Amino acid sequence: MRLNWLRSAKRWQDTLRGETSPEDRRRNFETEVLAAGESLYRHALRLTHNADDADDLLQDTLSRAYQNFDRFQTGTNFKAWILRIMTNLFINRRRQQAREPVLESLDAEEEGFSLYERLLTESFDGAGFEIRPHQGGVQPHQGKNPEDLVLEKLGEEAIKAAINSLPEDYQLVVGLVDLDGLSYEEASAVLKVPMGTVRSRLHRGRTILQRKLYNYAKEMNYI
Amino acid sequence: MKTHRMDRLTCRQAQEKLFDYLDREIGERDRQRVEEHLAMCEACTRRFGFERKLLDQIREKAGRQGLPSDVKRRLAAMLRNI
Repeated sequence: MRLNWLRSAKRWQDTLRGETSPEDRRRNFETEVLAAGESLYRHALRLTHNADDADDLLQDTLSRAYQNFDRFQTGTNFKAWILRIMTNLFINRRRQQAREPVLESLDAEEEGFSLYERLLTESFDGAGFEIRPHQGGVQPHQGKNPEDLVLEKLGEEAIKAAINSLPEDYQLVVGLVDLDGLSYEEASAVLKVPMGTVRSRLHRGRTILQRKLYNYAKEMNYI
Repeated sequence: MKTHRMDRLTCRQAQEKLFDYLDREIGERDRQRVEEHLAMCEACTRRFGFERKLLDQIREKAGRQGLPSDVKRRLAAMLRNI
């Protein structure tokens, strides 16, 4: 009885997904993968720190995800689903190699560091953000102020380098939430850690990132 | 719904909710309390605005790069070989 119910639920899911043939199934899978490709590759690199290993992990992830594509629920976030598969594969592989994840703690100077407060104390007289509660919360004014100018000078390479130099567990959460746009809940499922852990690693990761960007801006005489 | 005077956030409390607010990971009641605080506090409004802009810059400059062409080719080959 239960088996029949499962079969009919599966057929219904296929209908919803519009799958009537293996070709359609494959096409749907490829479309989803290509849309998530950038996040997948970036996450693989963040996990492995190595282009060859990232390729291997990506390949294994695609195979595993394709085998299990019937279990993916249409209408949910495919990117979060396949990133979770990738993370699980990586964790299992690393467990076999008996390596422990690295999680560095913040030093006293990093704890509570705020780029904004540091900029204010270094002779800036920034002016002007306004709140527009009915338009999605706080928004910056259009006009430039000194903090804006510092932000604009922070180039792509500097930001990427700062993210890549974060301790691994912070880098993963910052990447998933800040770059890939996952919610805390989705990142929690991908990394198999509680939401509270995602929140604390994200906040700490951002704090370290701000410290690194401040150091860079200082070195470049932007400040 | 207005919050009661005793329910208003201090600057410190508002800033503790900064990232949850910017990430839209905050409950409706707390969101209202943060926005009521921001409506009254120019310093926190500036701080929140700066942090919003920093996160936007990070996503814009490091998050939307597109796949390098060699990776695109490898990805397509992987899909063919599944």
